[in-house]
Amino acid sequence: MKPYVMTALRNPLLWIVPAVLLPLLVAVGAVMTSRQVEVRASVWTQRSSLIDTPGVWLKVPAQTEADAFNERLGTESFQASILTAAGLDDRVQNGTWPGESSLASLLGKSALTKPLAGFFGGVSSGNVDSNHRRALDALKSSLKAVPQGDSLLYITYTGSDEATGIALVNGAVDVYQRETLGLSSADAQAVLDFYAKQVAEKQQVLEDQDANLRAFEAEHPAAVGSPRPPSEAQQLGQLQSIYNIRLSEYELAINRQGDAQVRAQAALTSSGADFQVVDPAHAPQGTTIKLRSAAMLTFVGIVFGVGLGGLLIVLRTWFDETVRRGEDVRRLLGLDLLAALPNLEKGGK
Amino acid sequence: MRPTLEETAVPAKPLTLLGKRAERPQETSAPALREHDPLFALVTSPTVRRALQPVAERLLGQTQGGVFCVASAEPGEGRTVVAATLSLMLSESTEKGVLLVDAHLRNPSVRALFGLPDSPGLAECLRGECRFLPAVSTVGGLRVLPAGRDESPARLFSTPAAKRLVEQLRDTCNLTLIDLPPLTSSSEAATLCDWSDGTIMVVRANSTRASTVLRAVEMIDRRKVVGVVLNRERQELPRWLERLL
Repeated sequence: MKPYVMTALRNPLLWIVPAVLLPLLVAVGAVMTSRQVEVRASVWTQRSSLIDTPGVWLKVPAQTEADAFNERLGTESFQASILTAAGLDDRVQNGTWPGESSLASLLGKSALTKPLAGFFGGVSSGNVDSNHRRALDALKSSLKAVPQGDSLLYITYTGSDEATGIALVNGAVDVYQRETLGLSSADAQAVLDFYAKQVAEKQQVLEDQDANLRAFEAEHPAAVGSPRPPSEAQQLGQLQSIYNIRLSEYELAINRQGDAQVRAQAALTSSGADFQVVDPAHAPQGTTIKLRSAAMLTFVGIVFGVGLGGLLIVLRTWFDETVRRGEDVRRLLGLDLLAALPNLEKGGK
Repeated sequence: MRPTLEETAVPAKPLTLLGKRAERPQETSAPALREHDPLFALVTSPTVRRALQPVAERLLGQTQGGVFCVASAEPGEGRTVVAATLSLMLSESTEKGVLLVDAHLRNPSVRALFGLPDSPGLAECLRGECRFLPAVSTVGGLRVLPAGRDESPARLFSTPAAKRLVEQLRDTCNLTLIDLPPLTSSSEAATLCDWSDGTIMVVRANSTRASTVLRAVEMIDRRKVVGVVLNRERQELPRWLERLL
């Protein structure tokens, strides 16, 4: 132990640099790289179903919408639409977004180390597919929908680039709103078609029944001043009852068609009244630092720095063959120590 | 206030075993100005003397005396300080004659250390330009043979006269210490070590690599290495930590 302590005292830079400066640099780097902005848009959602499906209201609308958004965020078409809406296509094409890591950039400069660059974030130049893939991954990891209460929804971006965050959040809300409204229109049309068919069928049935009734009356005209025979009166009564039933069915179908038309029209003309952006994405008030990741990186830096410093001290001690102390004379030279003179002077032979 | 050489040195005594009493070495008083020389201050430092005491006692324990080299692997390890301090201590502790020879002809420093006048030295003796005894100066009780001047020391020490001189030193002086040039940068150092009775290796702590010292030791007869004087050893750990570890 003593030789190592002496080596450490003799060569303080050997352990100070890695054990102190390295963690310090890592800490500063970690704080710098973990600075992140959070951009968010607030959306008011009040989803309604055009078809009365039992149980649809049992789920909280904001949670439903957040789940739907996050699920859709996993699809490449949705991601690509967001990139387009955010105006990032060109930047993705030329590799300036999400950008390569500085280490990858450094490694990419040498043909020898270029293959290694892929492990550290890839190299953008000349690899459009790779850039696109990385852009989609970056988008997926930075965007998220989080429910706030029953009807409020936050669409958030977490990353380092504020302007890109605003563009992405607004783009994502826009694309989602558009696609959601598209789905509502399709639903409304399907319902309208369904009731139109119902009305047509009921009308046909009613007309047939009306024709039957008329035919029976024509075949058995009622005599003036004398009642119908009982059998005819019974048959006519049955036909009229059936007609009345068909009529009420037809009217019910007409009513439902009318309701569907009103609700579909409301959905189409509401401009997303059930998905309203109440607070679009804007510049955040301040930046946040991921303290946990910074602390973790710093801790790793300390462990690595202390370990490296200790290793350097051990190696320096092992490979040091300088005669320093009396015991070194016997150990290194195999000679007797006659005397050890203390260090008293600065010069002299 | 460190003691000056005058204060620490015993009065000069004649080298009793020197052959011809008529040819007495020239007496040189220790110059008082030398006390400001940092190297000289080291030589007279009580701390250095205390540390070298066991070495001096070991050399004094040599019943037959002899010729001992103070060598190092590289320049700047502290040979001259060790050689000069040991010589002074020995000369103060014994009635036997003690001689310090500066054999580092390329970069001599003993003359400057003791403030000796510019006079013929070892090189002139080996070239036969002067006799041995007149070249020896006396500093207190210590006899000093400065290096002198020569352009090619290696050639000078490869002559029979050099070996004869070493034998003459062994015969005529009780104890001789030779301040050698660095072993790794001069061939004459190894030659002198081989002719001597023992070699004290001086190693500068925290500076010299073990492999360098071992390479130097391989150049001489390892059996003649008396031991190592570790110079400028630092107390690197606080005492409490030293005890703890």
